Amino acid sequence: MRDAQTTIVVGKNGTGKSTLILKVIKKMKRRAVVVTYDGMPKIWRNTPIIDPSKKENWQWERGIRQIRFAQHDDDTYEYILKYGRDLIVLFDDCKEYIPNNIDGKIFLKRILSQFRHRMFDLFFIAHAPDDVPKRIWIYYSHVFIFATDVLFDKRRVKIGSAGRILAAQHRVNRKFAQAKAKGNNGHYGIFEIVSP
Amino acid sequence: MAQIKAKTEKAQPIGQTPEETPPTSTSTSDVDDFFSSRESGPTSLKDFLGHMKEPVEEMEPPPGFDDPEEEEMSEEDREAAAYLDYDEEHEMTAFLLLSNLDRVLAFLFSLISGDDMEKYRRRGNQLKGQEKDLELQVAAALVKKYQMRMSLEWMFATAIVMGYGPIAVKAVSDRKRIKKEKEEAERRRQAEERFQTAP
Repeated sequence: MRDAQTTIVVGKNGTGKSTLILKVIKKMKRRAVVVTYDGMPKIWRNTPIIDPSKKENWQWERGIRQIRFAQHDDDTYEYILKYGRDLIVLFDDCKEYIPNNIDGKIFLKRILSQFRHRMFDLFFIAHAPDDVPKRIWIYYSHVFIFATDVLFDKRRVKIGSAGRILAAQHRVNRKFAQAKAKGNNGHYGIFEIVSP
Repeated sequence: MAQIKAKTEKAQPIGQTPEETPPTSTSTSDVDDFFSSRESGPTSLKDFLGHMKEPVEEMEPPPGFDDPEEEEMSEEDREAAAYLDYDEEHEMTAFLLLSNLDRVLAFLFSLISGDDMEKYRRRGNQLKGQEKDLELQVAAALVKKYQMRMSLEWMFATAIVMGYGPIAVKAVSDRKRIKKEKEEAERRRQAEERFQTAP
């Protein structure tokens, strides 16, 4: 048995992060809901969309469902908290709808503080470390580091693993650049996993 | 490995961003191998998956978990918190406004005291290196609240007016002073002439 976990995935466009995480959540064989801003990312276009405000829409047995944040805006967090239980919650491209300062987002704060009790495995996908609110870095148990132009800011997020995250970024960026220089698309899918 | 790479190359059309164009594969194990072969670092994907496949422990919620009377922010507090989450653009605009206000006030104080206006300046002319004091933070939040947008042209015009406005006023007062001095000098000259030509 294990506790529910919070995982962060950072990497710029074209590095394979969404593809990998889709693979991961399929392998986990748990129900999953992916939150996108408007349902546009190609990788989720075939994922059935649900209206999270209706309790009956949360009763699916297996597989992945999608919530469009733009449908209910900040109330989306409230519905996830109210009706969701024992599932994976994936926030894709989270910068689109989660601000850096989440003090005013009471239900999002509750999702973060209660994810273990709700049995939520949380995944936050972003293009850069700065796109993930500071508070989420405090809760993370794993971070997938893909190539990114923006390095982790130790002054902004003061956590013990900051040095290891930065070191991983440097290694991944170096490998990415070397692979990309070869021009054979070998740069896709280069990553490291760091834990606190 | 060469087989996987070949499949990957085939899957990604030339000139298209491969973000949502994953490597196509006929078996899931190929994709697993693809990602596993590229990862490095102390925690492996296999370890991560092994851990995440374990069942999640059900936890008893603590008493009062869903207590509706749990502290909540008022609507006004939520709004204020949202405005305080401003961007660099808001901060830049706020700094420009505060800097111009600083110049105006320094000029007014210099008129009161008769001393140089630079003595009454509190803000420099560059945002970089400035302390992000409460005034700047609140001003940036206000800029966000009222959606103040300044075009570059408007910012330039405002900066020029604020910069040269006090100087223009000083130039006018200098002109009056110089005119007065000239008139005074002329009166003295005439008085001397009268004195010298008097019988």
